[in-house]
Amino acid sequence: MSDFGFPLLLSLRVALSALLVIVPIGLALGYLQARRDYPGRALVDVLIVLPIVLPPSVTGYYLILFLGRKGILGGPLYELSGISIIFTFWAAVIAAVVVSLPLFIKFAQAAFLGVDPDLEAVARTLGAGPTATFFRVTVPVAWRGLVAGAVLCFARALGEFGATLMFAGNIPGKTNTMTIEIWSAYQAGDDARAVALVITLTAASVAVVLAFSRLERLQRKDRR
Amino acid sequence: MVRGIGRWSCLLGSILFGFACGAGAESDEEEILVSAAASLREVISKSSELFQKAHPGVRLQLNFASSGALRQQIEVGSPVDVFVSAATEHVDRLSDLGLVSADDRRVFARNRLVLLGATDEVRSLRDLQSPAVTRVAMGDPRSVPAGTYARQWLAAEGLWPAIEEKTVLGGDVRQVLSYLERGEVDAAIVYATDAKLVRLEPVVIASGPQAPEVIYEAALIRGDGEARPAARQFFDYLTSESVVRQLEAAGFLAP
Amino acid sequence: MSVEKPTALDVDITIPLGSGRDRVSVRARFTLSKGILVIFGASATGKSLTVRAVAGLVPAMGRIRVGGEILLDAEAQVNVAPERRRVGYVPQHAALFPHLSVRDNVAFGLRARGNRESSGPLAEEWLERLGVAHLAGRLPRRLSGGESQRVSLARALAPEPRLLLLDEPFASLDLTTRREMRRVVREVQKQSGIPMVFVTHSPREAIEMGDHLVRYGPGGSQEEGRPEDLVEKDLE
Repeated sequence: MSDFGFPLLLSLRVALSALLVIVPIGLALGYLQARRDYPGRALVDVLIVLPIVLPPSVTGYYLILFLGRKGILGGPLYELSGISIIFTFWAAVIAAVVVSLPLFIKFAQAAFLGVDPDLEAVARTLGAGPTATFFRVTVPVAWRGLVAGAVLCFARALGEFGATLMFAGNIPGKTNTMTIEIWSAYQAGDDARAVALVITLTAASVAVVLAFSRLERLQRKDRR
Repeated sequence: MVRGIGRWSCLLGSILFGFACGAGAESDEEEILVSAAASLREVISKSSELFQKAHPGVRLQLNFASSGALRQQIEVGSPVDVFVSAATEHVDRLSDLGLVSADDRRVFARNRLVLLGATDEVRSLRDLQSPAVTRVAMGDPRSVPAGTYARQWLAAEGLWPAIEEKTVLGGDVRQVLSYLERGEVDAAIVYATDAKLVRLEPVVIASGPQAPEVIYEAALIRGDGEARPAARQFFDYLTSESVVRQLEAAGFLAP
Repeated sequence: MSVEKPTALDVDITIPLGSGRDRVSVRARFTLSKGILVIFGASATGKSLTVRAVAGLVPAMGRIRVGGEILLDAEAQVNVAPERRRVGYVPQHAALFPHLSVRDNVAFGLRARGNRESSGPLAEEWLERLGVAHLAGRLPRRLSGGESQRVSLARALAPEPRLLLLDEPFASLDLTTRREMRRVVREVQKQSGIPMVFVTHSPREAIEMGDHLVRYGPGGSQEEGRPEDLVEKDLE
């Protein structure tokens, strides 16, 4: 059976891959929700918050419903290309994305709301188009809030269990993330392994919380 | 508006509180907690019903999961009265910890392992090695007896650890079965009784010297002191004729 | 021989505000040939909105022409994006980019137009002109109110806009600094020749700053004329 290092590396890879997907989408949607009003905005907001509020097993169920081998989208995909997402590394990433993305959108939204719209207005009059303004003014000013959000989402992705177990399954050597390994080891009565994994994950989480609160304090000092 | 919310909250709160109180109020009945392997769900449920009819005043609380998980729960103090495991090793472990006495364990049933296939690609155990088979479901060998037996079987046939990287581990044998039923995997290793339950024709039935011996044991758990009389009654009932008949009807082999 | 010089600013717009039942509009109509045009009126009469519409920051219907170029023509479906209007904007609160130094703030508009190498020295020139060259390396949060507004002014002027809009830029400054800043702006306007629109609700400021004035009254009324005439009654 896989050694100790694999679940740790796997969890890190899953969380980082998830972050790569989450950040661009989160920045875009967070900005949209912060700045624009459009018909159906309230509904979109509900859809965004939903995965945060739904229990992981419900989320896992929906993932299987849509993307399982016989799922609403997964079925046709499998028929056409033989590709099945469920029970793969990417399934673990998708599960992590689904539970963390809403969190990042909310953080990004809050961070962007804290950016004085006049800054963006002035940047426009100085000759910067919407994209240039976003990347050279909005994002740098919202920087700390965005990074804090990303850090917290990374931790959430690292600790994902329920939906991941259902959708990515427990495949030793492929999808057995740290959280799944802990559960598995515990069930098997392998206390030594379980404890080692628990300590590692706890230490990682503590580090994340410390980083997050430090960033938070810095952001508040900036704002004065 | 705020006052209206206040009143509704009080009402909701009292209703929930009432439920909570009500739920724990069955104190005039004796409650016996039974933890049994997932593959025994139907037989044990039926037997419990019959037992409770014959013994009013006893309520059987049933808990089904993988034997390994159940054993873990007992180890950390879950107040289980009767444990029915799909493998003797879990009862052994509890016995080592002093939770089961030597006289209070009996062989309950036997079973056989089978290979189920989702497609025609799977016609024998060897076919699991073919590239057309990408995912094989089995129980987690570390905590699910069906998985331990499966690994034994595959190893005896020279297929382990060769196909280990194709395996998808289930938390109990019923989860393994559901993976196959949902079409998420190409093949699954479960018990003959599970296949019979969902009316699937096994591709291979483990038999002969290579086949692992699947032995279920029922055990009376001691906990703080002696086992309770109602628990002992149920424990004795489990090895009675009527239960053995039900087991055989479901496809189990007699103990 | 009379080639008509295009006016610096020609505005004839309607700005929608709110939606549904609360929909109102602000009507603005005036021209500026040179110097400083003051927009004067009580708060919430649409002065800021007008100026933001000229900058292209809020949607409007009608026509806006700056120095002969049509920036907005609702009928012809012309609506030039703010970054291409070359209209400077100085808001009430300096709105300096907090993550950039004073120099980089001022250089921002120059760099946005691709003017990388000379942006630094040019920025420093403008800082010099506004008397804050010594602050070039500082971060905005370490500046006083008056210093911030000088930097804000330098930043808006550095890319050499055709028109400068100032939206009550001195309202949050103390009296002495205000007076000083008024002098600075008039000075800069004379030296650079850049036409300016100056929004204020202070009668004294209106008279002091304006060559020409548009008074926004209640109910959307507007009067154009000389500052002294239109503001006299408010001086008590």
